Amino acid sequence: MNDNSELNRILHERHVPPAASNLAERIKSAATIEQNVPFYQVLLGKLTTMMIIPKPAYALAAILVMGIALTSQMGGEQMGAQIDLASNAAINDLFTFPDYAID
Amino acid sequence: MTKSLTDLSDESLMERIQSQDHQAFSVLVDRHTDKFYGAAYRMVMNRETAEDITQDAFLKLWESPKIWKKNRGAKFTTWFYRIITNQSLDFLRKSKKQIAGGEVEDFAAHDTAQDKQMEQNEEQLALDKALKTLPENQLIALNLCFFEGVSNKDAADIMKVNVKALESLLMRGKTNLKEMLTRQGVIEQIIIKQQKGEVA
Repeated sequence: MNDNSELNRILHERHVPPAASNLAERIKSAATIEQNVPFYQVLLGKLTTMMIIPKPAYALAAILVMGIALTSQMGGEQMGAQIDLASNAAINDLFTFPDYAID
Repeated sequence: MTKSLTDLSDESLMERIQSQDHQAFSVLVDRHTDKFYGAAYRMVMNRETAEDITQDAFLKLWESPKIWKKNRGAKFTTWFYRIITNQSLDFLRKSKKQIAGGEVEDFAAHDTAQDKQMEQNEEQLALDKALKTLPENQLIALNLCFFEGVSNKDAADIMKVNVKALESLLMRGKTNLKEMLTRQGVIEQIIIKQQKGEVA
């Protein structure tokens, strides 16, 4: 009887406590539950997951929306001012005579 | 219908599972749960964790059956051993991280009364303790080749090493294990007990 044969024997006789008797049933039923979820619920869940934005991102998104709103408002006013300037220039052109006309 | 399913090979069942055939999945679970639970237990040495690992692995298979590719030529069991081994390793690494100082926790000590039979067996306890101190790849090699009865070629495939490397791992694993058991005096005790028995 040598050490190697003893080691082999111990290794081969290694004990594994039996799994819970319902382990296979548990796995099967867990897989069934996953399968029984209606399609619209899966879709809704996926959409909801897609819509989830972390809180700092909410703040950033709000600032961005406000920025866009303010810019568009100010942009409109600026554009009005630019139109005024343009029309003034046109009127000025009408009443401005070149120097040679005076001569 | 179920009767004919039980005659199908694992690979044919997998093809059906890829079409969301729950009956085929049930047959596969019934066929292999105990075997893969045993493989997980021998790695993590904790009954509940081994059950969780087995359940998670099968559920992943059900949820994403396309991850198994028939044309890669791997047998289902070889492929699934790899999944179970990887999940068990993940658990072992996480639990080792949680333990400060790097000492391996004695999971068997936390096991339930169902494991009392095992606790009474000094040899088993000494063996488990020694196995826990082995490097991961030696532990996997010993588990696959000694306990799961996987061929050296398949074990090498599961571990993604060549056969020679696997044989070297097995040899080193056995040498380390023998040293540890000898240090603990387990082998000597057994031999002495046997000699006494023979004398008596």
